[in-house]
Amino acid sequence: MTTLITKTAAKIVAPLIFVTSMVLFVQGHNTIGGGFVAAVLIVSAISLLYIAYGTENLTRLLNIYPSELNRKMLVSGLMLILLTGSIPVLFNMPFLTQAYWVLPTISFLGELKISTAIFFDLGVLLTVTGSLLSILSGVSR
Amino acid sequence: MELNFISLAIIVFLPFLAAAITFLIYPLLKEKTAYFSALIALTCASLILTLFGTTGSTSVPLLSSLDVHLRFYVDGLSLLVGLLASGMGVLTFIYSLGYMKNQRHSPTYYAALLVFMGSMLGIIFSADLIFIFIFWELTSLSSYFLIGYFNNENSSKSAAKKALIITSIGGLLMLLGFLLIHSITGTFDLSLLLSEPTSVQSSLRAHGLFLPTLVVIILAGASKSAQIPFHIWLPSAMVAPTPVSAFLHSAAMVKAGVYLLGRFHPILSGDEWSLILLTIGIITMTLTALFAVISTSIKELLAYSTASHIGLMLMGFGIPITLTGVSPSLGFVSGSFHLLTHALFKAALFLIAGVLACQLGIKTFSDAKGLWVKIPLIAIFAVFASLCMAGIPLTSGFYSKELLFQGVYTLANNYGGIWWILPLLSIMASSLAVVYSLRFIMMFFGSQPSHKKDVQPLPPSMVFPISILILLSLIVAISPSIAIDFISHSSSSYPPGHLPIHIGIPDHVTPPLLMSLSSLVLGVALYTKHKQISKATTSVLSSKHLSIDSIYSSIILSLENYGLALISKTEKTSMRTHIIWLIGTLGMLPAITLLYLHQNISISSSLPHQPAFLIVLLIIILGTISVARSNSHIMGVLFLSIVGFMIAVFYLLSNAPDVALTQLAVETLILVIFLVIIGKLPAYYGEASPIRVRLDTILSIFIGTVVFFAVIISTSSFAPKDIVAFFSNRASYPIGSTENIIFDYGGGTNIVNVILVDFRALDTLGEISVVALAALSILTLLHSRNQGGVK
Amino acid sequence: MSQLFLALTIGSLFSLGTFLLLRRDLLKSILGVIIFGQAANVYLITMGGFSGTVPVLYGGENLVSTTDPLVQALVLTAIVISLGTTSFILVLLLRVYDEHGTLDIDRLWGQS
Repeated sequence: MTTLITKTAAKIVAPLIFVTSMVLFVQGHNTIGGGFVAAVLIVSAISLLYIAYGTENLTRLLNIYPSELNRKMLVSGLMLILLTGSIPVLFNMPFLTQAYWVLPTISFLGELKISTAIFFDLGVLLTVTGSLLSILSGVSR
Repeated sequence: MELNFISLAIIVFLPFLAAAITFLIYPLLKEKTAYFSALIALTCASLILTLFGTTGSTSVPLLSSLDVHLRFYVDGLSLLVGLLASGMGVLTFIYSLGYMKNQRHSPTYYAALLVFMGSMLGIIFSADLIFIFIFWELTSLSSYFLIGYFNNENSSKSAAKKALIITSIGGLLMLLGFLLIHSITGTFDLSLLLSEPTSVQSSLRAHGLFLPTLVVIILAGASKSAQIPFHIWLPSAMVAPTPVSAFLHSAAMVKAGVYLLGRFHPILSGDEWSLILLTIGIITMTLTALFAVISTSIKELLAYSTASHIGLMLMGFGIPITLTGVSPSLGFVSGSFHLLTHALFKAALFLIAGVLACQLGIKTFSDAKGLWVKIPLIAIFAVFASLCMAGIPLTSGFYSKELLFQGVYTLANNYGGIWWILPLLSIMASSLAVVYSLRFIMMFFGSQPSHKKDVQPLPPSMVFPISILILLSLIVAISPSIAIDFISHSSSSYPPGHLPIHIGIPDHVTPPLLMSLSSLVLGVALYTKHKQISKATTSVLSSKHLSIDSIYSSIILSLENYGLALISKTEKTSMRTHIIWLIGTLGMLPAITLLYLHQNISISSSLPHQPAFLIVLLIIILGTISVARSNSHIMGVLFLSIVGFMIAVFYLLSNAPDVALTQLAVETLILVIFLVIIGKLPAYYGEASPIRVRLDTILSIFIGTVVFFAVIISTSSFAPKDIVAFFSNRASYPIGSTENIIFDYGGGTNIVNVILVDFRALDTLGEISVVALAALSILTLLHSRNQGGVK
Repeated sequence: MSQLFLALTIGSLFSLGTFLLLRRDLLKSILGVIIFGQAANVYLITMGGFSGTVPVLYGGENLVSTTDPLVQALVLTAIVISLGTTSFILVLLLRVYDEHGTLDIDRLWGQS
């Protein structure tokens, strides 16, 4: 599969998928998207590169697959959720209670809201990405 | 006086804590761990002493929403048994130091003994029936470890298993009884039950559950206390180290059953209670006394005699409270009193047997003669304790037996007729007790020492506990009224008797005294003939194959065989068979429900009708059929992918864009993983046989039909969805709120995402943990690939 | 109509899933398991009723006529979990082949 056409196509498409997944992640709370989809899309993009370039080449060229990194992502995602989820417990609220702030209105930005759920979603993103990447790299070895 | 909850909690839970610590400090202390354990037991015993004279209950909620409380109840009976258990614990630990000198030391031994003591104290002081059950099973479990302590030998293993099986069956029966009580009264609180014993009994009777409850609780007590037909575990358990036998099989474990019956005496006593307990008691007392007479090993004699004496206690509890001419609490007091005296002399005798086995290597009667010369002090102790066991006048055993004789005599006198068999059999049993006590005594006398081996000086740690026990027996013998006063506290739930229980040196001839004297004379007469008796009884017993031991082993054997047969029928068949049974059953259950439901199947119009739907669904069906018909791996996987993508389109059409997007992405990734894996697998195998295909088709069509009707019925009407309104109201912002930080609302417009990250975030956390675990397991599986698995 | 068609689809998915599960080839059994999962998801979404609008609130106003968002959240969770478990069984399959050299269930269970 490592033909020139697939390589070129992958080079163009993979960054687009990355950007799309980031957009989906950020807008997830308000319209379609979210941590899962973003994570699965990131992994799809990487698997595309994988198919196009083959394992060894990709590792050498981009240095993208140190398996340590995958596992660190997995663990840090879970830790992030556990830590941010435990903060409400200190204030005598249930585990994983989420809140949001309504920031003062600034004219050119409009009303801004910051939700703590973004940390949770980030944790989901990290964990799922880390897990799926470890699966993929493990299977394809 | 207010009960101190803290000290009760310490009494019960300190031994458990200490058991855990034992493993830590054993490397430092080695065999001195015995002193540590003895210290723990001493702490418990002294805390129990501080509770002396108190009565009542105390509780602390553990999980109040589930009505789980840690409750304690204290009265005279629990103080008596608790003091026995902890005090015997102290002596046992000290004795273990000397006894274990020649044996394999291990922290497990001390830890198991401590756990046993803790659970025993837990049974005694808990006032919650569930806690009593848990502690009860814990005693069975720890005794399993203690009996199997020499677990290299097969006999140890099977004896430990026997004790565990029999006593835990008893425990389950007890749980059944507790649940019956709970189903009527609605409470597990023992102190509540004991505060109104008569109304508990009458409501049990009103529902017709009194007799079942009574029977299972008595059976539970009888199994723990080694009563016929459950007595077989006790002689087998004698393979345990002797200190364990002294503790478990004279003072603590077997007394748990007696304690249970004593505890439930106020609630359950009545005509049925008396009839069952008197029957079990008298049969056990007589028969096991006979077994003791014919037994060849020293510890076996003591074991059978323990069962016999416990039969006497149960008879005591069985004496009706309505007898005229004696105090109503006579039976209860005689049972409890005998519990105390028996524990003191029997533990001493066990410890003496331990000295013989450990220092002289003597385990059977044939080895033992003229030991007087070698161990004079122990011989004096042995003679005294045996006299107590025989119930010779003016010893401690005499007084408790007198009370029982008084009870059965009055009973027979009141009712007459067949009831006279009770005093007669009692005389018979106690004359047999005289016989086996004489056998024990005669070991120390006789012509010449059979052993040439010089006796090492006895370690003081072994002599000290024996002398303490003998001293206590002596105190009870001299002044029995101290003990009686103490026990009478516990019978406060009875109407105060007009006739006080008289105990003391008999000053005139009474029927009970006559019974004692006649059994003594008969016993001595029988002793001269005991060799003939042994021969006759042994031949009778061995000629019949109806011994309970063989029934037990045949039951266990057939259960084992049945289990093996079941395994070879189910476990070793192919995965196909498993799946057929599983799926077939899963399909049958809804099929039966559908057949009996008689629901009118109606087509609802609530689902929207779209032509696009039909096309998508058609492709899904056709795709799946192609998956099933494909004859190569790669085609199957590709068709499966088509089905997956079409399902994503279906989600999109059913207004679930988030799900559709995720499905699309996931399908892509799964396809990649499939393709990577398929390259490493062999080619497709093809079908086995056309018959099999046809059979499978029938099952599949059956399942499909069941699901079809299930879907039709479940989608024909939809419940009003309040939950939809809740989520769509709460997902976004509160209208017109001026607060800056808001908790109750999600603050997002994508309801599905808000549910995932906010309302049901814990579900999501669980889900990503599954994914993470799957990843880690995959890495482990792949890592183990090149490490030489079993081919 | 669409109710009948949905019931037919879900029914045939379960039916063919059962059929696949009983194949001699272990990989086909796994395809059966995956189809079971898909069928259950479709069933769940169907139980949501999907008569309302997309569960996204535009402009911040509160609409109560959306489709059941809870089943969608459940199915979303189920899809991601099935991704994890599917890859796990696949690797397990790989290991079975490593160890036993065959994926024929008749030979794996020692029958001819």
